[in-house]
Amino acid sequence: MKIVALSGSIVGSKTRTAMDYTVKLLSEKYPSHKVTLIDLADYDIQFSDGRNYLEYEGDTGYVTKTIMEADAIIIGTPIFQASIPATLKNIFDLLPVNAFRDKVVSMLATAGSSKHFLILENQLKPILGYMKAQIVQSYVFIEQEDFQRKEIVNHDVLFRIERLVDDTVVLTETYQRIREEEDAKYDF
Amino acid sequence: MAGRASRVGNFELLGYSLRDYEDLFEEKFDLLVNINENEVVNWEGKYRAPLRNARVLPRPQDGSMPIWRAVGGTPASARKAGYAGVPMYLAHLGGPATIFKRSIDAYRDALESSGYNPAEFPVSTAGFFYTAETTQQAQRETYPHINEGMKRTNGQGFPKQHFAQGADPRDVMNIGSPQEVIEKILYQHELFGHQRYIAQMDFGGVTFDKLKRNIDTIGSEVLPAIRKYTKK
Repeated sequence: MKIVALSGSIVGSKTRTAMDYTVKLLSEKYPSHKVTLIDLADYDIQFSDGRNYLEYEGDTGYVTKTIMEADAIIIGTPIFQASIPATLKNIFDLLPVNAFRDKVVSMLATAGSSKHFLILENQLKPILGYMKAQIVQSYVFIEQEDFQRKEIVNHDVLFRIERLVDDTVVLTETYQRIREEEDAKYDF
Repeated sequence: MAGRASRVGNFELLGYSLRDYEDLFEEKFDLLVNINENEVVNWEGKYRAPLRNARVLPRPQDGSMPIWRAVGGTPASARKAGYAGVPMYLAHLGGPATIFKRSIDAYRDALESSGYNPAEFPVSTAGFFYTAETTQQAQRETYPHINEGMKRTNGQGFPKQHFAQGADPRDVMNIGSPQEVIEKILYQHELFGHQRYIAQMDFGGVTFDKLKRNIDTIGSEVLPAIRKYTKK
């Protein structure tokens, strides 16, 4: 199974910190799965101009192709101005409309205020649903006070990240199995 | 047949900007129609040098030739073919034939509102075609190619669930036994009232032997049956 951990912002450190925990846990608990961390801060991504994702070159091409090859994607995002950052939205715009068909997508958010808790529910989930993702319904919401010098100090958050990782893997395996069973019913 | 680009490589190759995607096509198409209709062309546009009393050679054999506007996707692009007053070529992958009827209706509607007589403008459809002894065999032989072809051109395969529905007589995908394909084409003809159908067979690496066998089937079984119904 190929899993992409996508850190959706080019500024700040909290989302990346949380994604580092997530990737570490994934690699420890599921060493047979291939995990790729994509931190958008490490890449120079162009804005979507509507072309097919295969036709982007350089960093943009690498990121779109890596995401499209994944079986599961864990999206980590900060909340900016009561929404997801433009850098993350651009990734969605770079991909085909049904890019997440046959993929499981789960979410983690870091935010400066508890008032942002429903942003993922109301803004990110509809995008993922439109793009045909199988969504892990529970997401991890992490606040400023849960971090201390680039470490997560709230044990509850760590537990929730672990559950997110488990749910993502279990759901991906389950959907894969269902799909294989369904596909095997056809004689072509 | 002229259609809008679905790949960006051409723009780089010819030095155009992708931002001018729509404008470029409209201008080039307009010029092509102009050249087709007039032996001497006086023309001015945004994206190339103007033409003054230009003769473009060679000329079509009978004075002018039909230039089809290639359309896919939404009825909105079919409408544009109607406004331009040119024959329309409609590409389809799969799905109920009635969905594609909407585009054909939109095209004829646009023709009429631009002052043309829809009866004078032919419509062509084009989509997957493959026959084998049974529909199951036809699906078995063609699915791997279509799936692989879609992966290579668009990056995503063809879902089996959708492909399986393609066997339904109401689906526009002409893959099946010769008899089922004949019935589908006739049903589509009844629905669309089109003048031409282009069978797309050579996709995703179908072997030459199988293509030859299909061309043979078209000549020996499919066409004679269709003509029995369509000849006036």
